[in-house]
Amino acid sequence: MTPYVVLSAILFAVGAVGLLVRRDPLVMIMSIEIMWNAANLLIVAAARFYGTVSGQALVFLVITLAAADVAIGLAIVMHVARRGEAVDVDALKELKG
Amino acid sequence: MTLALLGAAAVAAALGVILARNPVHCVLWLIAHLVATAAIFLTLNAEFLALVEILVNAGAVMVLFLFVLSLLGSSKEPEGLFGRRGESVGALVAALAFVGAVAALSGSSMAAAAVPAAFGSVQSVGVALFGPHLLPFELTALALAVAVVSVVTLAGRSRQP
Repeated sequence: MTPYVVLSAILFAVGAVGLLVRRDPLVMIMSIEIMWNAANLLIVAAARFYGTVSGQALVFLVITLAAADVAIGLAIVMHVARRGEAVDVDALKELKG
Repeated sequence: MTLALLGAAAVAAALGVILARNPVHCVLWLIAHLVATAAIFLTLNAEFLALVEILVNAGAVMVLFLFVLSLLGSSKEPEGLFGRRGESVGALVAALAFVGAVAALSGSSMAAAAVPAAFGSVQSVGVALFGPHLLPFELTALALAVAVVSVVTLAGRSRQP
């Protein structure tokens, strides 16, 4: 199981770097998607190595929640862009509607 | 050997996501990453999840990204690829997370359990999902409904004066 753990950790670290250093919110959401996928990979590997199918049911739910997460994030980006502000996380300082 | 190739492809595509300048290229790299992840799922006897990964994530969610990109227009990174927060801090945090995750998890050098032939099929996942895990499934449906309402509220707001 160790190769899968190491691969999942590498992918999670890559996603974390992207989330921390990029400034385009769309690319930040994509980095979060990479981190979701790293966690999913670890759960699927654990389900295979423990021989239970419950982990795969959990990953199905996680994929659903990741899609909802992405939809909300993209809606926030659209809302900010429609207000005429720059889509730049360093320039956004307030959350007032 | 198969895992090494697929894992290298997945990591390379993930690096492409965080290093590409054009957001459209980021989306395309992410699609490649998701396809590689689906192939890794296939090596773990998760056929249903591999299909869901391609249909839902690489299909629907990535099309959503491309729709938003085409609505926003091409947004070039104004002053450099990276923010003012400093990439050294990000790299340090990620390295610490990587070392911590490997140290915490890699001690389990367990062998794969013997699984039946139908492990990971639609039927077995469905039986698990609608049997012992019905309540989380229903709660996920509730979360999706909340997400739909919030997205409609946020995206339809600009019609008002």
